[in-house]
Amino acid sequence: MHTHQMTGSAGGQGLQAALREQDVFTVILNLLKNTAREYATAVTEASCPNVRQTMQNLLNETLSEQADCYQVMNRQGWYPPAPQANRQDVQQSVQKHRQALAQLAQIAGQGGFYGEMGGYQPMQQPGQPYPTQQPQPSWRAEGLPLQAQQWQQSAPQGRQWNAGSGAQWETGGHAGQVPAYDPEAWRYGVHQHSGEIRQ
Amino acid sequence: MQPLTTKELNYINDMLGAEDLLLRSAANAARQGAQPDAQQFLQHVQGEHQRRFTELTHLLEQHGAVAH
Repeated sequence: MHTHQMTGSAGGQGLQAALREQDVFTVILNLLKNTAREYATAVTEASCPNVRQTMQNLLNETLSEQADCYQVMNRQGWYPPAPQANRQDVQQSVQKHRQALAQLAQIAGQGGFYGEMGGYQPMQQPGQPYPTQQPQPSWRAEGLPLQAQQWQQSAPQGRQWNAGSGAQWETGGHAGQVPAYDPEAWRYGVHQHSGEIRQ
Repeated sequence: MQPLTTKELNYINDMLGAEDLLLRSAANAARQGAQPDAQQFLQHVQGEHQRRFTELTHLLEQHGAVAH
């Protein structure tokens, strides 16, 4: 294997450096972690959408680099293995929160994650992950991208109102075209009934 | 493009400092280090930090035009 070089003082007397290669990497790893936190704060404090987007991109890049840095260190054996959570503790947590999850589903109701799928369904196969992406309801003609960045535009473009199948919240008596319930409308402040931009 | 707030300007300045420090740290580590895997990583990220630094300075330049 490649021997680790001893860096010394300018006089080259073979003194061992106080900072080993792995220490230098640990410093960089921590710098990246702190920088990521600072970028995250900058995102939340940005008023200009352009500034916000730039900070968010840089945040993601910093996070990727921090992951890469960790992998390099791990491969070198510079990182001790993390202690594992034991099964009993994990099961306890599952039990404790299963009840809460059912309650939350009732509270959230139609507006919740499972509302559009017809209610809460307990996990059928242990070990299978829950879907983390919200399903696109079948009656919506054009689904919005989940990462809709409408806030970047100073004024949203004219919305295409689809004739809806009549969402439950709508009051009766709409003649002609009825705007479909748009669960994404809160992103860009468009009034759901009249289509006017909410300030 | 709206003018920068003082808060935004402060954050951009801070992050420019952070990218600068990360670049210097990586360069320093590359000079000292020996492991080829690590060296490759360090060379790569120096370029990354330089690019991010530039991206932040561009942000300043763009907004400088509309500042009062």
